[in-house]
Amino acid sequence: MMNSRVNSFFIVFLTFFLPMVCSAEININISNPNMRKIPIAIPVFNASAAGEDAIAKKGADILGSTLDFTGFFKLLDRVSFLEDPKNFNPGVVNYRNWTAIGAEILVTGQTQMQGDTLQMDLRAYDTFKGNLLVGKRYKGHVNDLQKMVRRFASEIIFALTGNWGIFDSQICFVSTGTGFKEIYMSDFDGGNPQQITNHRSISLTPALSPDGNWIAYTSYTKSKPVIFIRNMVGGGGTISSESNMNITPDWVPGKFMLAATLSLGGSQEIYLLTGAGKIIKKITNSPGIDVSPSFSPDGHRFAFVSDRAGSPQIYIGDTDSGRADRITFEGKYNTQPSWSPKGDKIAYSSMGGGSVNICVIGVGGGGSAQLTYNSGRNEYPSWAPDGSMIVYASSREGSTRIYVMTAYGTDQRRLVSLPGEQTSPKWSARVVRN
Amino acid sequence: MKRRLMMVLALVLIVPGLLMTAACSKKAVKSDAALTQGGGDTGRTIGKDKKGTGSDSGIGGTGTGDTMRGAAADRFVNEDVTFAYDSSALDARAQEILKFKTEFLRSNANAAVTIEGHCDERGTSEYNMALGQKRADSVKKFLINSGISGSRMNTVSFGKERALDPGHNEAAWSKNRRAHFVLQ
Repeated sequence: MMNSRVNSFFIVFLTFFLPMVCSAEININISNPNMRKIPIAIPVFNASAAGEDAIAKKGADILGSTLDFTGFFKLLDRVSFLEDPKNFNPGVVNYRNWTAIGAEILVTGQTQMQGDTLQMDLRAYDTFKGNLLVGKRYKGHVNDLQKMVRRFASEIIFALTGNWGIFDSQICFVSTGTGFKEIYMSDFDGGNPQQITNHRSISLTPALSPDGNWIAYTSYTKSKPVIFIRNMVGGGGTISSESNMNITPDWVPGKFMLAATLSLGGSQEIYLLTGAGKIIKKITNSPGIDVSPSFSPDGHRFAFVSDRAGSPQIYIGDTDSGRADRITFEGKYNTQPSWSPKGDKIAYSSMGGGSVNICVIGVGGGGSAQLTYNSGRNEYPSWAPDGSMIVYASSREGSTRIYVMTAYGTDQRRLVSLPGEQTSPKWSARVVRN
Repeated sequence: MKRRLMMVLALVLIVPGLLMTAACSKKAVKSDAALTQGGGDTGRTIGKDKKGTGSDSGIGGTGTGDTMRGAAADRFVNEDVTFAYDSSALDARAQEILKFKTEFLRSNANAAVTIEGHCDERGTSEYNMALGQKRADSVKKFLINSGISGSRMNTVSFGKERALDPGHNEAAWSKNRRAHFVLQ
């Protein structure tokens, strides 16, 4: 849940440091499938007083695990460091001690506590170029340590890629831990999972709006599937029940609108709805099933599933022209499309041979690749907001769990493990709240 | 003599067994009805609410008289229409079952029903939700064409969320690909 203490921390720019300079040697290219991991050294932060040692270590550890999550970095073992962080002089770095052990980025931190207030000066250096990448001061309640450290992690990613990364995003998903399918939300890395519905019914397919203020999901609490549109900040909301079946909501980027599948006139089609759940217009048209919309980043097109050709396949529809083009031609059962926030690729699940696997295809229909193999059912792919990772649900362990992998299918690992089964993950946009 | 005794014994054991099976499937219907009831919720309703929210009571309905009980009513709610994989078409057997349902609805002019559409576990959840709806719609359309008023029939899809048989084989799957009737 939103922490009311968030308002207690602010950022002050360090004006007496050198301006930020991007290094030419360090290049994180998230489009490169064979990307080299950047060696980074994060020594324990320097504590101003003996009682701060635990916080100083924790801060450095959190920064390490946060950056490690991206798969861009190789964290160097502190055992190999040539310097003791307790000897750091703020602003003075002996770069050779770090290049000698292979570190290309060095992060140093200085903590200072006053009562419950923690102040941290964090600096990231390019060791080979010998200059400062980014430096920031954070001040807030000590319980917001993780939040402050993650802000700095975002600054490092921005300095290196020009992109703000994923640390301010969240994942919503479904879990059966209470005995009912309820909606949950967690941090980008599966941390701090919170149950956010308690309908004691069947609740499905949650989707967070791009501004992070609303969540839409289907629930059977009215004895038929209706769409709840709930405000995440103030509470309250509306229920969209324009038909007997109201499913698979997806938000339109940049507008207070969503698309959903409704059953009207004996046909299951995708409709555009207002943010309050009222029909604007129908955006698919075929005699059979059209379901599961996923919008392109510009909001003019959407991927969806249609069985108009005899079996469920992925199509791309246009909200303005009404045109629909099929893009999957391999496999007999292709569903659950997710359009990458980078705009170029669509992830989907493909069922065949007793298993279900996550595949990726170019928006033009070419460049298809299968990302999961020999690992049971892998479903519900959803892209990270910078297009670098895919979250999905996998049954490879027996119980269905939320997994994550890079956009190229590497580093597949479990993200969340809660009682019951977890499915239907959806990765939100980056939402920054102060 | 001994053979006759064995036959009598067999009958004495089998017939009660069949009756108990019928009772078990009654329980299955009851639990389906309980699951379609909404629990507490926190949303405000806009638009039309489905008739009979929270009032599903399985066999017997609410105040619709003696004709709603008995063997015909049992058969009406217990006999599901089943479907081929990824299909909403009604084969000969399905149509036979629906003929009986039509007769029942004609004889019980006050009866209102919810037709539930269900799928087996294999496909993905969202597509199955739509397929379940297609199955329920297909059944409703057949009944309308047989002269039953559409206003007496509601449809709802549960996709693959409410399997009748939890097994992971074709025997279970074929049971789960069904349209199921609930008397209001």
